[in-house]
Amino acid sequence: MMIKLTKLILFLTFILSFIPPLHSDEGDIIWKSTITPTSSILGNGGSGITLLGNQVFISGIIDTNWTTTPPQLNGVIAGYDISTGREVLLRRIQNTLILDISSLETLNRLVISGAIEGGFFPIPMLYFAVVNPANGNIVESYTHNTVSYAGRHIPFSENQIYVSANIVQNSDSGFFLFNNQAQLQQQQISQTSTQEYLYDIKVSTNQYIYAIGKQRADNNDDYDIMVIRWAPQLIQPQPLIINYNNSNDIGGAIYITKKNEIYVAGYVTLSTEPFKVGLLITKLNEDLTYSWDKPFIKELTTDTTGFNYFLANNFLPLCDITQDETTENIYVVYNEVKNEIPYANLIKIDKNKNILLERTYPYCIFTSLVLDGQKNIYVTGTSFETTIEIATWKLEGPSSALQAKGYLTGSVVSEEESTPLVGAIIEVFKGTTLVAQTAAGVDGKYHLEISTGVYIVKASSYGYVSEFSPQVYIEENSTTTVNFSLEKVNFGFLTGTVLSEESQPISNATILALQNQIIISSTTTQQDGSYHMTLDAGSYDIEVSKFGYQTQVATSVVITPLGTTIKNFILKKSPVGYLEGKILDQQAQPLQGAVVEIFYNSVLLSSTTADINGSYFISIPAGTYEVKASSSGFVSKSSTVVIIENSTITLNFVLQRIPKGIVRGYVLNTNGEPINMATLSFYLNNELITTTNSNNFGFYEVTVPTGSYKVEIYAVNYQSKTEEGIIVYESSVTYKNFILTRIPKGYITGTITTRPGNRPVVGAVIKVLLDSQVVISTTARVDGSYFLEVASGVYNIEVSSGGYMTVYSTGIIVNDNETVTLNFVLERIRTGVIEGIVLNNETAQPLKDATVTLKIYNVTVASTTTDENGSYKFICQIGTYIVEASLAGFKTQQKTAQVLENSTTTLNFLLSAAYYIEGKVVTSFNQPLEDTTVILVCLTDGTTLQTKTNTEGIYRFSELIKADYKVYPQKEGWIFEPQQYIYTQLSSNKTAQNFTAYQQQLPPEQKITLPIGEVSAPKKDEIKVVTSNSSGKITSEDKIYILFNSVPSKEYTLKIITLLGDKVYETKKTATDAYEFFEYSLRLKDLSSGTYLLIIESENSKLTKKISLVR
Amino acid sequence: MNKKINIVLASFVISIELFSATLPGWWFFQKNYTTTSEVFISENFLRIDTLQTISNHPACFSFYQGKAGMFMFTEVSTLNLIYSGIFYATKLKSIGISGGLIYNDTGKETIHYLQSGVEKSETINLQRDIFMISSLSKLIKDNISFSLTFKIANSMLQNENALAFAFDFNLFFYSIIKNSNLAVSFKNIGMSTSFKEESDSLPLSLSVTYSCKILRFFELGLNLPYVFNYRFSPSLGVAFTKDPVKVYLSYTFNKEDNNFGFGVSSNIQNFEIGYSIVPSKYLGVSHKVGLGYKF
Repeated sequence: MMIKLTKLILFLTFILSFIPPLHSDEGDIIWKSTITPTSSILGNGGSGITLLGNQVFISGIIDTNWTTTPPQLNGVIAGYDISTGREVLLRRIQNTLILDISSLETLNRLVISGAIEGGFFPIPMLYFAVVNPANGNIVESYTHNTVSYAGRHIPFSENQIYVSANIVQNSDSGFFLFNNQAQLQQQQISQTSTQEYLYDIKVSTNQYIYAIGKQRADNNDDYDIMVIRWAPQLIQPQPLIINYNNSNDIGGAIYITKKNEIYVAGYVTLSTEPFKVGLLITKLNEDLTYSWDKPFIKELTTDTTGFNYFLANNFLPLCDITQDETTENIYVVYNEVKNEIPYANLIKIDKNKNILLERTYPYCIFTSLVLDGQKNIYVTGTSFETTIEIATWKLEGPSSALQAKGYLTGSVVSEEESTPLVGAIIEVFKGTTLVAQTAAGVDGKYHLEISTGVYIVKASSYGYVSEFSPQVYIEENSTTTVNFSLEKVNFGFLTGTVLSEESQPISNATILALQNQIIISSTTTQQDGSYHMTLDAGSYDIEVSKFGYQTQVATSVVITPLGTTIKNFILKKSPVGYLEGKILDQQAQPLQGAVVEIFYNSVLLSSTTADINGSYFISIPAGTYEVKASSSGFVSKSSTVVIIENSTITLNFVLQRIPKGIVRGYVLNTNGEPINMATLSFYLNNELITTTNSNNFGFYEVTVPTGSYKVEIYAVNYQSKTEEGIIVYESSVTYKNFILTRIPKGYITGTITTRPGNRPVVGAVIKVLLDSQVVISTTARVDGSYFLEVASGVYNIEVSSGGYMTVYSTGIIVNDNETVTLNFVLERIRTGVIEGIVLNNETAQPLKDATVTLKIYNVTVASTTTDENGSYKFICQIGTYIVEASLAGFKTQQKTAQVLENSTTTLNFLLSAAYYIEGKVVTSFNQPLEDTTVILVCLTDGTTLQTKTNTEGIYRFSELIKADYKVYPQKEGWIFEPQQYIYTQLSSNKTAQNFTAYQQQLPPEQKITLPIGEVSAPKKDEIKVVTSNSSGKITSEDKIYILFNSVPSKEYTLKIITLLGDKVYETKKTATDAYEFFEYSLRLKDLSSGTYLLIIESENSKLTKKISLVR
Repeated sequence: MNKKINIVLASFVISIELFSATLPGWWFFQKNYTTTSEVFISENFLRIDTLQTISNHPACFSFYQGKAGMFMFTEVSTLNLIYSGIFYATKLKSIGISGGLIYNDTGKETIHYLQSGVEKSETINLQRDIFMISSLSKLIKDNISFSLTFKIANSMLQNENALAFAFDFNLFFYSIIKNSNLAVSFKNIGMSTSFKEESDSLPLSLSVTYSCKILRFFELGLNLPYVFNYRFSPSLGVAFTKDPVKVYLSYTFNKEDNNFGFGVSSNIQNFEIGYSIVPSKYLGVSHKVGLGYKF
């Protein structure tokens, strides 16, 4: 059975691979919550649904992966708040298929049924368990000891839960009765071996047990619907076989009313030629006689993919049935496939089989439903929106059908002439479903009466580009105006075929549309040699090329607006030569299947494989090529050959076997627990060699070529890790464990409401931004609430909704396991205009194509470029913006603008031409000198900039305006040649402004002998003052020694001045050493008490130091 | 009256100069207390820089039309020198009274020394001064006023303290010739205590300042200060005034550094603001900002 399930799910996956991205019609969906599998390579879905208090719980199958050994097929239980859909419980149960869930209200417990891994999966064993809804913990459980599984179950009382049971090994079925401690009380299994399966089970008020499923029909491979009844005394069960049309039928769901009326639903084959499938609903009496003379049949769309076969053969009953006890109306959910797209359906019929309501939801499969007291319907199943997800929907009760109406009006005009576009088509969409359409009148105006809700409006007219509106809100008895201004179409079409001289279509030929040798557009031909291009109106040269053929060009091909130009080509073959040879291993054994590839300028032109003798043969146009031979497990080899027209070149390859080893180990978390499904990618010389996943025990193993590997490990909810230097030896095992750290996560929640009105903004988009990049986003639910899970960090939040002003909240700190509540109030959009011109500061000429960017808090909200007049314009929400103008070759400028409602703010920019200075700092050995500080001094205004050289020793100062500059490098312990570059009125870019660095020969700390003793030498560019006073003061009784660095034979002057600038002493000295000093007697010079400045001057240097003197 | 004053002044000069063998100390007594140069005392300046001019020449307070005013200034230099103060001036009947508090700090430096043959170093506070100033001024003729200023200061050098007090006399001749004013000052008549062993003489000085208006917006100023036993360093300045803004440039002769001065000031309603910059070869560029308010 499980093998069959595997095949079916594989089949489903195959079908789903054709499904385009989802745009769900949410219609009267109130909320929807999804669970995204951590990994799921095959189909999965929700199975059962139940209500408990103010919460709805679902069961499901998740994280499927049939490629591992043993396979992964896990169950999940999830709970949601009924009013908000917010997740309150999410618990994975490993290696368990959960096929149904029910609630025991008084005990506040859930029960689940299905199958659990037994021995070597996928051999299943029937599984039943009692679950704590608060945390999803299994309280009690039961596992059957044969290959078996449970279908749906039903609690008759809180201590009597009947479970439909299928004993796979005997092809028998029946039911098990459990108490609320998961102890088996009774079992009733048929011994007929008629290959029967039970999917759903219900119990009547007088405790008759009814189950539905299918039973194999005699003498053929078809199944019939089987409804079976057991009396309370457990006498021989009474079956009812429904064979609708002598073909394949399946019973899916059963419901028993309080009056013990029995409704069943299933799928039946309506005809085999052509193949048609239908939904069957019928009503039975207690004794299994028909209550309705004819069943209700709803023909389903026949799908060529055979998806309906899947409906009839799935492990899960892909339909469900229930009744509103007050109105006695029946609700059924069922599924079908139209044009390879799955649709879930909801139908409501009365007891006379009249259809009261139908709803269709694309890209969904509904599996199970439940009704609450407010006639809301809760459904679980699978959603295919972005990936394959388990989904839970809350649907608005059909009793409150959308009756309130409002009005949509507006006009459609041409953007260029502002003339009305008569007959323009107006289409109104709810989600992706067209709900209304009309045409514009002679005045270009339209008017529609439409149900209240949120819509998208599309306007289209021949010769114009269609336009979509933002979200439009239709409110009861109010008129919403949406005007369109359509842009004229200025494009046409080029089409044609490319054939060989033998009139054979040439596929994959490259078609280039060129103007002035510049490629404007390109495409390739289809299998039939046809091609199609959409081009702006104008004249083009069309170039057609294909390897093996001579390139052809058609000049001056004219494209007219909306016109179709046909241009066909017949290509001549290029002259060819031949290449042949053998691919052998080192033992001269042929390598069958070895691949020979022909490259020209690194582009793969052709390939072939070696035959059983290792021989290959290929014909290619004359020329010089790179030939590469490769075979799995062998080192590839390449060689260059010259192919001559009509000649045969022989080229043999001998390939060497790649030595291999094994890497194995465990992926664990920091607590030492195994991490399942961690992805390990093995790189050798930065080339991905293989990827594998860890299993349940965190274990992995790969066999890879020998070498030193870099391994990247990724696991959901953990921080990725990279480890290098993992060495694999030939025929050896390398053991390597990886420890991953869990990513700390927090939560952001809140509500989005309007002001005025304080109404929830359904569908408002909440984006979490990190450095202007969207980390995650969600939309507000029907009550305006939202919930997000993010990694701990500091974020900015952006909230937007059509028609409302976007609001931001910045610097939001999200800590691990903490919830941040952020409520937002949106106001209707009020706009103003920012416009202006961007001019060249030097010439006052307008600057075209300058980029003008609108920012809030450094987040770019809009961007445009200037036209030929240098003009730009933004229509934007009111508020304060930073407007930035930039253009290559000019210095970027920022200004702040305040935008007021319905007013225009003019902001002009004068951009000055900007230049850059760049160069390299290298050592005398021509090695780049990294991390050198390079200083730029603007000699015009005294400002300085500094940067550091990168690993290549390169520095760069950009966006410099015309001025005088000086550039020089600095690095401790280095001196530079030249010392600096000076630029007068910089008016061009300066490159190669290079410096050569020489290591400064720092002398060892030197001692200088003074008359009072030895002291250390002064530092570079420093005056060192030593006083003869042993207490460190300078008094009139003392001498001071003024030490400085000197160059021998150079003359130095010592000056002493007051802080008023009056010179009080001056003397000179010619240096005889690298360090020199002046001796100065304060007494002799009769200075008064006070502060003085010492100055030591030479021809090119000047040093100063303050001293104070007390008398 | 004038005769008596002259005798008193002369006796002070003799008594101090006779005992003065070293260069005079307490040099910060020579600094002016405003953002403007003291060479300018013309009517233009009295109109725009009233409070600043009073700080430099207290005698001219008698020609001040307002009742009271307050002025504060701060000077910083790239050599880590700080000099700032605050003044208040008011009139009591015919007598003008002004007072202020000034702070001067020359920063820190590291000095090395040998103790038992081992080199050591110490970073010390070079100099910190605080001094109070108070003046009385009175009109002695329609166009002549007189002021007497008393100053007392405490100076701390390398953690050694000394005290000094001094008197200044100032005569101000308003419109001595048409559009020109003259001031004569005799400053720093006083004495000090010693820091350690020997006290320093104060920078006793006599200065004559003359300023006149030329053309409509221009003014020339000349200051001839002589510091006894020390130096004679005249200053010359030219200023341009266009209400309510004034710009000036001055040059001082016979100095090694700080020769040039450039400033701008303005009078907006009751506020008086000023800025000056003194470029320097050695002492670091100094910036001075001032703010006054007339009550």
